[in-house]
Amino acid sequence: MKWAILGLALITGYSQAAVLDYKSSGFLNGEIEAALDILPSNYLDSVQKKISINETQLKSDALFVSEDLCKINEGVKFGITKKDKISISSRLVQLAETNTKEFNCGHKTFRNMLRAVIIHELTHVKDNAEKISTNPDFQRIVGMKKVQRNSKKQLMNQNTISSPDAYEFHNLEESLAVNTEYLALDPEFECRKPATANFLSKRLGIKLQGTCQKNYKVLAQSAFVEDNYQLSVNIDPKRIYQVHYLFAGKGQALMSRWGHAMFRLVVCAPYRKTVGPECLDDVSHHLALSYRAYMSDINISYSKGMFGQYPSQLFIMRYLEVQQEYTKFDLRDLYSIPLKMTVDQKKDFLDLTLERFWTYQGRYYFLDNNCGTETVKHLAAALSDEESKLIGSITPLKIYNDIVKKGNELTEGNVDGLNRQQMIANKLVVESMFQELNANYQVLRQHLDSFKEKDFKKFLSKTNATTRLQDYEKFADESINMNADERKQIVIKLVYLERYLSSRFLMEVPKKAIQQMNKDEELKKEVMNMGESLKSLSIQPWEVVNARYGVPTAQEFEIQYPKFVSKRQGEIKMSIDSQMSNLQNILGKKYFAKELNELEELKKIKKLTSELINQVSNIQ
Amino acid sequence: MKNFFIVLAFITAVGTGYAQNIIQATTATTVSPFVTATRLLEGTTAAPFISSLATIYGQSRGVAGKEQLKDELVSLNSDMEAGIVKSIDEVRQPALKEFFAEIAADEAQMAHINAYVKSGSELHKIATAVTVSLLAE
Repeated sequence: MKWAILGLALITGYSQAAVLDYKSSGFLNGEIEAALDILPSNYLDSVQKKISINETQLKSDALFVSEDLCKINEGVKFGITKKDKISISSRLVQLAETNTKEFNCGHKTFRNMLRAVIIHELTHVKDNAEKISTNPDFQRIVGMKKVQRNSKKQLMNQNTISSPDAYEFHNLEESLAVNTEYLALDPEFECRKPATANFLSKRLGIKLQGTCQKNYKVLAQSAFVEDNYQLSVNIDPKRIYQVHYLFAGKGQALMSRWGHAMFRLVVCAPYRKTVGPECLDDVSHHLALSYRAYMSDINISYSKGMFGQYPSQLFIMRYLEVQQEYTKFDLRDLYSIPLKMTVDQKKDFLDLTLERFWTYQGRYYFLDNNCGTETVKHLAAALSDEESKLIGSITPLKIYNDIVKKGNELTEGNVDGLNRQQMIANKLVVESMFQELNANYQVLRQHLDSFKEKDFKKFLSKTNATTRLQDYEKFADESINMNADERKQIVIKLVYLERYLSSRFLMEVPKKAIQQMNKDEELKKEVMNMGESLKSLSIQPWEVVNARYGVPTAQEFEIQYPKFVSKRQGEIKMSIDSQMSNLQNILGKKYFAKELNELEELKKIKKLTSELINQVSNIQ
Repeated sequence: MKNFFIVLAFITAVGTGYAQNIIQATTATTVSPFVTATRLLEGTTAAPFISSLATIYGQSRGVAGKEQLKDELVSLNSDMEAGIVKSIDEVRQPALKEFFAEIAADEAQMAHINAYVKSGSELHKIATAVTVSLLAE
């Protein structure tokens, strides 16, 4: 009833804060008061105006024919705010009073919908006075390309599937108003959109209810279909020791000269009772968070990447997979820099991680909305305003420099000025595997005839499996009487190098198939079929667990995820069978005779090296 | 052989060289060739008892986690040979150190390993079992 006093105050000419005039039907008056009771009493203190709320026949009421809340026509408006005047659809008011059915969408009942509209429109009024929708953190959380002053700009996130109401993506003002509706009326909102809820709660003074239980589980994605979405990981802030800025150094490719920006979550192994530095050892449990372009389409183009036609999403992967990707196959250094975060900042960071993983699909622009900019926005949303300003760069390397800069104090411990060896010793850098590969190669050169090339890179460009197999067979025979320890070391180095060589070769074969496919229609068809088969396995997190909206609740997760895992295993097997058939057809083409031969030789090498491993391991 | 299709399909999806550069340099994709390629040559036999190690511990680590373990074995063996490392606590390879600690804490697995690897320290026995299990699989 507290707001009724404000309504009364209109008559007395009181004008310290907002004055509401809602002399409508008794039913609407009651609903306005109910909505106002949910909001803080000072909600409109900044609005120095008289505001009227009226029940009005809106133009779009003509489209508002359905009595099913889930089937309202597009274009129907429930309320409109123009300056100081709020108009509420009379059709909505009528349905709110007469239709008491509960629906499985949105605000569930027309009555709740009416309250939501009142809160929505009042939030517009508040926003007009306070410019909340242009707050930088709000923009970072809801997914804008750049922080800006224009509140009418469309959001980059357009993932309607995970949204409570796609109207939130219309622009920043609507995003604020729609999300405030849900914060005020839906007790699950703070668990389904935790980062948005935290921001709005603090900024608007609407208390979080604390009645829902947040589900901190995310799914580990993978480059490998066997692993993709097969593991769930709990990222409850209580189980995360640190957040690291994970930076892959520059690569040889032209476009990788700026490096790649990511995060690493130091997740403690489930068996640990305490969370501390010991969790740094739990590497198989650590996760990498990486903003990447989502590509499942076979017709991928450079221009699409340039002009925002691929979705930009937060991928969560096992950390060790990312380490392999960069240090082994790209031969790039991987920097892992612990970020200094308060308990609250870490929680905010992880809440945004949850929200991004389950709901975010922005647009990837190679130049100005890429891994670097997305990473900075994610981090800045968790840091204080002063700290955020210290990271002004947008390329991964410059972001790294901003983060480690001594005066900025954004890292745990001083990183600035450490030389490479010190960083390696402090586990701040995982080296590219090139040095180790080369070192092992140089040892093997002393024992294998075909390893004569001094320069490892030259060797890589010349070697073939047939020659190596001859070498290995000779070594296997001639080394029988060699010192057992020495033989073991050589065999292990040989296997190590051979695994690398075979994988390198196998990565080249597909490139050749691409090069050749335009010359041969049948080949092209097989390649395209394989691509399509793979595409059919491509899936989004919100398709794995279909939540009402946002982050799935524990109940939604526990019911749906195990079913997905079990169904998925069958699908993967079927897809693999089908694609193997395509592959055999491809390798049967005349263009691949050399590769087919190499493959056969590699199999023989694998058999031989396995036998050697068993021999030198001295297993009884 | 089964993973080879992933490699091919990935590169197929990449299309032109320019697009490939974008992917490798900045964003990549959910489908990458990388480590899967190394599994093309599966199918040889390892000592069956030790294969269970890979099954029990390797599966939860995923394809890449297992590859990382394999990659770290070479430097671990050098460390052990040089006498730098004598116990699990001293192991310098992070993925292996974690893996070994898990195995050492599992009484059933240790009993299994002890039955086959008769001599040596705990580290030696586990390292031997893991080497055979992973490199010869």
